[in-house]
Amino acid sequence: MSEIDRGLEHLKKTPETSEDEDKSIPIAELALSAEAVIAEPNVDLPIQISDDRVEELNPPVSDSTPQIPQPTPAAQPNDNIEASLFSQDSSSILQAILTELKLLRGTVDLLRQEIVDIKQQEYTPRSTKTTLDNIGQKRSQVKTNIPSRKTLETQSRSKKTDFNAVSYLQDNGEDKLQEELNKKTDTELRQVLRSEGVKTGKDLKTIEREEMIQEIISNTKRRLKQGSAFLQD
Amino acid sequence: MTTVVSIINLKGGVAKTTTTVQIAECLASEFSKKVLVIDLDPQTNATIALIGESKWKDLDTERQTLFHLFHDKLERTSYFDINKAIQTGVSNLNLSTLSLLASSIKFIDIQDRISDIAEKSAYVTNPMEVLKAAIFNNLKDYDYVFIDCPPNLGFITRNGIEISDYYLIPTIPDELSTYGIPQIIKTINDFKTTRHLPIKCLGLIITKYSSNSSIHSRVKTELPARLANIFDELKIPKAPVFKTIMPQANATAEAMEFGVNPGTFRQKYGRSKSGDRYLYEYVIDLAKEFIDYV
Repeated sequence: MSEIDRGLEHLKKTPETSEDEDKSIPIAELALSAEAVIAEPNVDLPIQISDDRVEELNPPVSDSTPQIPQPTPAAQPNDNIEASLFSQDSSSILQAILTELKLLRGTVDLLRQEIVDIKQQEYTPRSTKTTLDNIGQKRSQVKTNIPSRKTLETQSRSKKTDFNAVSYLQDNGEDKLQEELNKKTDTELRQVLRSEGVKTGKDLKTIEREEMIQEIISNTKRRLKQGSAFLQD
Repeated sequence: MTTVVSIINLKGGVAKTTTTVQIAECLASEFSKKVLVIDLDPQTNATIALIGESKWKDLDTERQTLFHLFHDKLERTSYFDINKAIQTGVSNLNLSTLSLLASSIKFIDIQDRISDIAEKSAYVTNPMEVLKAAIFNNLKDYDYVFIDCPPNLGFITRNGIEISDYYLIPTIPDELSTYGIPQIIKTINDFKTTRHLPIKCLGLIITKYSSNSSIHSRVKTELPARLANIFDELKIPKAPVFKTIMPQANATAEAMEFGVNPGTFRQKYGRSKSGDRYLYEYVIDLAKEFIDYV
């Protein structure tokens, strides 16, 4: 049996006539009932009001007057409790307890509302817009870091060197160009030859380092001086 | 102060006429400059691009082309009148500040006889100063004068060099188009020295550039060094390769058609993009760079 049931059972057993006996209702029992109401405020307490109290609340109507059944408002649990308790002519202690009960019920209502609010906050899904924005940002970050297909193809295909031998020869002369070429690896020298279209394919694989340097120098000199024969008188 | 610039290259088809017309139209349209184009090329392409064939025919009938200027000197006639010959408000853009001195295809018939002018005039007229004598008083009316020269360094071209402050060399960045550059620079320098002329090289303009051509790409990177080498060998002041590179574009050829009504300069040179830019953007950049250098 739950606390509330026991409290209600006790109220049912309470004598209906004696005020002295009413005073004998154990406070602890009432407190238990109050706690039960607090815990389950919407429970419909099946408290029965004594016949005397009913008569007091609903005085008998004269026989001559036809009695029209009046719709009675739905009794509230608290009203029932109050009716029951006051019907027993409760002491001031009981009134205080009931007052306290009302206050507690109001507090409980507030707490319940807060609990509901907290639960709603916990379960409210994140804003769709925010989520999409986050996805968009992540996507753009990833996309930025991935080189485009065109760039990848160009990088994989292009083996051109940035070294401009013609400009280097014009600016620094043949000796400096030879020094610069000596610093380069065989692969870099092959790239220079390939980019200038001097040698391609198998020729590039078989050519010796020194020969590569001489090829680059002679080709560069020829390019730099292209058309210079017309400068002679 | 008038600046006279000859557009020269010994090789044909390197966009001499196109470059001349583009810069002239751009300066007149976008920079509100007073510009005169002198068409010395017997091919008459600049003339057709700026006034169309019908108007040229009228001028030819009226004997008001540059051919008639030289023909008068050879035949001792005087039909040519410079004030009648200069056509103002030319181009299909209806540019009021752009003028033209038209050429004629008949130039071909007399270009080998121009040296005879001296003898015909009892050595009073120098055959290289025919143009100068005719136009000298009119030059002050313009901010810029562009001379579209034929692809040679004969008497007709020398008439243009005679009155020029600068010469520009348009070139396609390939082997053959660039081969004659040292010859142009040396010949003009020799002519300048002999005739005590003020003319200087303004620079080299890369035209018809195709970015997917490995030869164009390579020659483009080599040209500044090659040009510098020529100036070093001739011991003359260096001139730059223009930073603005004119692309190979269908819109360029389409823009030279006089018969259409293009509307504005930007519409005329904005029919299609080359790379991520419209052709008019390249032309404006070229004109700005030109103004910076002169």
